[in-house]
Amino acid sequence: MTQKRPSSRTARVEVAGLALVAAAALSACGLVSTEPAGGETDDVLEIASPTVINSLDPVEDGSWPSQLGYGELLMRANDDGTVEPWLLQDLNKLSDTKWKLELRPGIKFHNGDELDASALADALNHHLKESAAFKAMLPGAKAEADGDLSVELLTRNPVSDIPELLADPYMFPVYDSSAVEDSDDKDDLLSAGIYTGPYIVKKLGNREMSLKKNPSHWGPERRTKSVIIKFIKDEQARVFAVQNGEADIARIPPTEAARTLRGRSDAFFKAADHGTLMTRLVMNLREDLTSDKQVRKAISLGINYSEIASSVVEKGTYDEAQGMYPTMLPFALKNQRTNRGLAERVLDDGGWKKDQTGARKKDGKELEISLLTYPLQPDYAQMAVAIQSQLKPLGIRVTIRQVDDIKAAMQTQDDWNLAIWGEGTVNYSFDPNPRLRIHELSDGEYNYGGINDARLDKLINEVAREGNESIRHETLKRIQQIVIEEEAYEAFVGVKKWNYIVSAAWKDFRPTTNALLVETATRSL
Amino acid sequence: MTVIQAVLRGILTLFVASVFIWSLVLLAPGDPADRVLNARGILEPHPSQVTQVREELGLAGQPHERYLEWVGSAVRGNFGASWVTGRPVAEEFFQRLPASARLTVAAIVIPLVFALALALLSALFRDRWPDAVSRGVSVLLNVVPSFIIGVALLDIVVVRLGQGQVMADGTWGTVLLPALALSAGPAAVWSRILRASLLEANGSAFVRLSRARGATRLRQVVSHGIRNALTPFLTVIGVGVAGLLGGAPIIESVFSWPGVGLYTVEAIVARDLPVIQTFVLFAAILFIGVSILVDLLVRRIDPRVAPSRGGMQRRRAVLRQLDENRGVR
Repeated sequence: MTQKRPSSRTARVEVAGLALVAAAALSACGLVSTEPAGGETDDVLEIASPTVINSLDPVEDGSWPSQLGYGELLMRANDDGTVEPWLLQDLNKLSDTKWKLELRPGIKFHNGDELDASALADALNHHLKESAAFKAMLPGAKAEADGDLSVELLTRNPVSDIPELLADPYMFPVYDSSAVEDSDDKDDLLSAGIYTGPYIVKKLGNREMSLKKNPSHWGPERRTKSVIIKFIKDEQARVFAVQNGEADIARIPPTEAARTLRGRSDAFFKAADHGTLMTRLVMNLREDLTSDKQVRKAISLGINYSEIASSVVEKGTYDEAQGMYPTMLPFALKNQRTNRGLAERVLDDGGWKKDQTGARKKDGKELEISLLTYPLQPDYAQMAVAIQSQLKPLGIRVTIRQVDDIKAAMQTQDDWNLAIWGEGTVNYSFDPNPRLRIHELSDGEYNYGGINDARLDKLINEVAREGNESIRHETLKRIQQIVIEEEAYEAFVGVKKWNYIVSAAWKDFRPTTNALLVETATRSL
Repeated sequence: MTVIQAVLRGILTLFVASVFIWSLVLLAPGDPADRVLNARGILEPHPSQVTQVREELGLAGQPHERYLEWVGSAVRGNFGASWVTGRPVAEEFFQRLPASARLTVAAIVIPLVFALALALLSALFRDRWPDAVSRGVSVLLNVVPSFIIGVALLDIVVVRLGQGQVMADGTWGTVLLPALALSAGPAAVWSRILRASLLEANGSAFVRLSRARGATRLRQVVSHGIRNALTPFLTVIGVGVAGLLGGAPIIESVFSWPGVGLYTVEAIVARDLPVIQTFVLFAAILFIGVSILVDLLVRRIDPRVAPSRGGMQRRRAVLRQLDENRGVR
């Protein structure tokens, strides 16, 4: 059979066909927008953030004002883990149940009203009534004005951590409660000017929030005239937005950006000096294998925490977990260590003997444990695999199970031994008390591992009440000894750092260990 | 099947779909209150906050009661309030609908143009290099997931070449890149279907007759081939449009496209049930509506499948005739 040679007519048709394709492609390309990318000027700070801010409601969306520069707190957390007055001039403890809050003079809400003692007392009482979290931390508390700028905060029980609670962005943003009560709905809050921050919210949509500098702000001069928060859901798109000049800083970037941006000149990965966001390894004390203290200790001793921080997750995004708390905190003990030889001995002493295959068995039962992880935090999948491979030489076989909702899985399922969970051990003002009460207290709401230790309960209650800082720190150290060294109730896998992607213009931005992004960025450049 | 029958069937499908999707959402693990708090930026909520939100959401009622209540309200145009924003879902949803409509229109037009061009190339130059290139492009577009194409387009076109924006604003000026990412899969499938139909039509008796009468190859394909390929192609496009809607949330999320897809992704993350239900209902209505429309169009275009009295007998005769035509080839 002979192949028919294409005629010149066929060739013309070929050319016409190709031209058709090319024309289609070109016409499509004509749709490409040639508008310049988002305005990059020194006057505007543009932040790419994943979360849409729905309202300015201080109860429902009250964690944002201090983080994004339109609100402030009474106290502020420092980089070294201490707290200092912010809108307050002074905070003094008058007795175990009475604190005196002294306001700075000359602070005004965005609506022009003065923040005086009466306004602050009203706001505190409003928040104590409406905010479930604040009410839970200070049950039965009330505030009373005591002079022009002085407020007394009265608590039902002794509370040791009032300074830290008032420095937590998730607790009490200072706001004009009378203006909130006068607003008919959440949309009215935009014009009500309820906050005091260096920037005023001018527009809030479902794509971005824009803020202008507050000309009558009491504090230091700000570096940019305005701030725009762009809501970009996709984490990679936030990185691209910085690279393309549409944003100056990207919040919560993918940690692999630490590697992929290395050597680039259009965007930089920036991490805080210290890790503060602890990742827990919850051990299920209700399950047969992990109810065995020897097994828990061997797991804790067998994990190589240094390796996880240095080579399992992206370098520079985590600190090694050396204990229950970030090491910069004055009460933190470095009592979590890797000792594989000791781990082997602990298992041998506990009757867990290795067979020919290297697996450990006791009474015919193999030491095979399940480890839960969840997709919301991709780093945890890598950590889980690392734990699996690190425990294997000890004779502990780990099965990894990914669940959609880690809390629900721990709460409702019985057949798990370990769970990686990104619930820190301190809040955003480095206060250990709230987390101890819900995680390690016997009846704590998030005590999914089933810790039930009268010694711990007593110590945790002492931490909540004890006003003397050095005694409080000693009590916290004792708690750490019990949790890690004596009982191995939990282990701590890594300490994540706050990290951001910044543009070349913001290369000098230095992330802090608190969550106050705009406050830090507009002061520090 | 009459139009009324088609509509009744659509309503029944809609009912079954809504019950099914509702049940899936209820069975999904996790506490909606937790997700709602996470969506408000509270990543590690205090247990008391979780309890408070659970009460706010009214999660105490029986599922079937809540479902019936929702259906009743939806029929009156009330889809409830978003658990996250507290605003009426209908208002937020329809605010975002024009942007999604723009993206969908672009994502239909672009693959149509590409599919037509690729299929014509293949049909005109069967088993030669343009055909091979066309098929290769189709396979490539079909196997690469749309979100990968989206991220690659952002990286190459926007970041490296400096064209367009990462944060698309939902206007026609920024629609090209998300539409390209969204339509790559359909373009591949449509071009292959169209190619197969054109080649089949090329072998039919009427095209051979046309060729014998001296018609050019281009005319044979365009005048006879495309017309005859239209019936299966329209059906595939109908399914494809529904597929576009399914893929839109991911692409809208990658390009920050301010449409209902992105809104739904945020709702899914936050377990914002009223929004998810509205999206599902909308998707089901659209799917059913497009199916009915395609059905009617096909019957209008192709008399062989038009209903008539004694339709079954006549349809069998038409099918017999078609078989004979194929046999002639």
